Amino acid sequence: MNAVVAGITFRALFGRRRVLLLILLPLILLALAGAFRAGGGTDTDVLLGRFGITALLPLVALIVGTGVLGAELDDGTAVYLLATPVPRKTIVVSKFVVGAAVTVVFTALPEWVAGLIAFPDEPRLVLAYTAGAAIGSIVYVAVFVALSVLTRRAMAVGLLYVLVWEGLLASFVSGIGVLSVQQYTLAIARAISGAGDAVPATVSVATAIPMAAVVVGLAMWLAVDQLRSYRIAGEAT
Amino acid sequence: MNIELRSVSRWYGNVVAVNDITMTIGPGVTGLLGPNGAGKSTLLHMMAGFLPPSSGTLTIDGEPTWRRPEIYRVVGLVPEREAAYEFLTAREFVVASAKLHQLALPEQAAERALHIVELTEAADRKVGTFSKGMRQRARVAAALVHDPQVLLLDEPFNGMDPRQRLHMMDLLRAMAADGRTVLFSSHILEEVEQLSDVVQVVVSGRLAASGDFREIRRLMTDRPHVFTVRSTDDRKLAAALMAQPHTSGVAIESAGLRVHAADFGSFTRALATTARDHGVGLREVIPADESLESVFSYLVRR
Amino acid sequence: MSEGGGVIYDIGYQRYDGPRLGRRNAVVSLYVHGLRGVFGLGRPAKAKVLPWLVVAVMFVPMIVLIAVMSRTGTQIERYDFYPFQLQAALALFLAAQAPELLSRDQRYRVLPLYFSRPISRGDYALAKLAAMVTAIFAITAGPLLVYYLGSVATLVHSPADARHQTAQFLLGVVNAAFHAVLLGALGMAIAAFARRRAFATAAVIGVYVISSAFSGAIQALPGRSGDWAVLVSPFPLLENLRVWLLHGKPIDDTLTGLPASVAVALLVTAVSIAVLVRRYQRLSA
Repeated sequence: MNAVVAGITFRALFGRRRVLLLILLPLILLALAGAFRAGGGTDTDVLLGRFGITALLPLVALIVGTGVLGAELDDGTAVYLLATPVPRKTIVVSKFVVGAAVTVVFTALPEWVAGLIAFPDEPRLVLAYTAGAAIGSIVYVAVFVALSVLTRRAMAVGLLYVLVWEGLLASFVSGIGVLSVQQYTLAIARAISGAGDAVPATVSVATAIPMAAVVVGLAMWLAVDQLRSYRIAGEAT
Repeated sequence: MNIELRSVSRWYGNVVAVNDITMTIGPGVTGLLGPNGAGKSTLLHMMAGFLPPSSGTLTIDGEPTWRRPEIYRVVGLVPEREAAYEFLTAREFVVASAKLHQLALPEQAAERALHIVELTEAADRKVGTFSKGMRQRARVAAALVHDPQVLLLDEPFNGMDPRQRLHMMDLLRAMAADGRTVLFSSHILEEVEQLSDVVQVVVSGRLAASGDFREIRRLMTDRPHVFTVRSTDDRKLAAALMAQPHTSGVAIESAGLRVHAADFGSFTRALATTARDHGVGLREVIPADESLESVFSYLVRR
Repeated sequence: MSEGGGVIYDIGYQRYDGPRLGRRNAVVSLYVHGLRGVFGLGRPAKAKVLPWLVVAVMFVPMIVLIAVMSRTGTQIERYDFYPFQLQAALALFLAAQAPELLSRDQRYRVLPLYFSRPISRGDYALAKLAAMVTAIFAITAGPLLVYYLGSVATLVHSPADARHQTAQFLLGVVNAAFHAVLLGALGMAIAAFARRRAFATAAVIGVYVISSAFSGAIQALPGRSGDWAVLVSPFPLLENLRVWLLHGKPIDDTLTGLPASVAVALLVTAVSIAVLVRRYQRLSA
């Protein structure tokens, strides 16, 4: 973990227009929570699960996860980090930590606040969703950071993953949950909440936790290895 | 510290960017010269460890460059792309570079580097507000903050005004005078001519020539050398030279004689003798085409 | 070497003195070029994958349906269900291809080349918009046409049947037109603000996902208090319009009033088009 890399990453993330989106999205969640509170909504899964975890979390994680490394690799400023003796592992980990932390702040924290606003009588459930979102943030960011190194079209691939793999296919093919970050998140939330089917998930927590760990480990390893082979193309574009 | 290339090639599918190049780059300023698309950037990126050779070996001080971040302790790279961290001030940028190079006293090293590139006054402005030349200087400062033995610069004079260019040339000469290996690429002949001790000419991925460009010129024997000769009696000398076997042409111009000589060696030896034998005094003998430009255009057209 | 005096040789270099086709032709060319680009025609193979994949997704179910109907002889009405049930595919198409039309020109800074021709900035924006609207219309109305022809061929046994089929088909086509205009305008307006294609794609998808989720969540509130949320997301809004204006059968039973739907739909479309045009007028190319 290198403070210089982390510092630059943090500043780079908040210097662009992306920041507006990062703030806007959780605000929509909070607005929705307010509407729920006012309208007497009781379905926690819809607000915290479908909106918070299925819609909001992956999008924020995608914006942040591809932003911490992808942008630099794309425009060539990564060279200033890479043409130094800092181990590639340190670079990746530092960026990952910043990305995960920012995502947690912009998803899990609003999730918690929204839950408290809309469902003040169910603190344990709200906490469960928050914890799930926090872990989900970590896993998603790891995956998207790895994607940033593996391909130049990380955001497109990430979108495909979220929409097609997790969104579309998961409703048709039941086994997919094992490879879906969304399901890990929901499974963990379900386990913590003790609320059973109020939190729908297609995998058990016993599968979700180790799979999440494996995914993070694999993503980090891939990212580091590929970063060691980062190439600058021959003649400039 | 030497950069050694042995039979280095790099291809992308069917396109060969670098074709079996063997060369050694030693201390001093070396200019990598070639037309656009010749493979200069590819070579530089391979030397900088950002591209693996498809075949051959490429080492700096005996160690290969690919996938070895340790080489950056002794190598500094100034890439061609202008992108830099716009939101950092020049000072922050160079200090960050110093810290990333794990220097013991990063702020002082940064101050020194900024001083060398003459950015001290503007050091607290954001790089995003800099002109092209200033940005370039900031990037050079970041590349030499850790006092590298090898400095690689890809088209460093792009977008610089004449004053900045002179300044950068002085800087590079000073670094080379300290015993460092400085390699820069360019397609601008005047820059390379003025700055390099040694020139490596790359054309279409192949090494077309290396060394002092004047020496290279002499080696180009299938092209007549051109001399401008002023003497006490040009016409008489012209007639005498035309009778010589190694003269391929003489033109009488207002500035003097323009002589085309097929063989540099024989001509230079014979000129003085011929002049003396005919009672003509030589005032001035100037090689007229010993510029890098003529060398270069010759090599490119081969 | 020259001998003094100069000669200019005729190598066939000539001034163009022929007719110049002018602005209208330029706009039409830009439109056609854009339309081709949306489907990846005239572009490398990689650019064809996604649009044609979506085309397949839109058409194949209809083809399968016709095969089933010709076997079993029973009618399965599908005019109403298109394209709402395939909204994800449509959203993906828009998200992927709107940046193809707009972001590439911005990123590679070729806009000055366009704007120094007879077309105005507004022309450019509208021509591209028309291309996208046409494309969406093609992939939403196209399957309906296939279905119509298939139904007529296999199931129609009387003029009354034929009239019914034709009426349903035409209503479906109008619905497709609404979709094309609203979605096209909205998607293009969003995509116009991003230089990088992937970011534009993410923005369009983001709007789709978040607005759908928001709308769905509000509608899940007890009672009818949440029905207004239909207006917040484009697909439910269009579905609402279809039920009211075209007297279609609703898919689920949350409805909101007709005037509100029409007003919101018109407003969104008009604002999107205005935003798109203004963006290009103010863009420093």
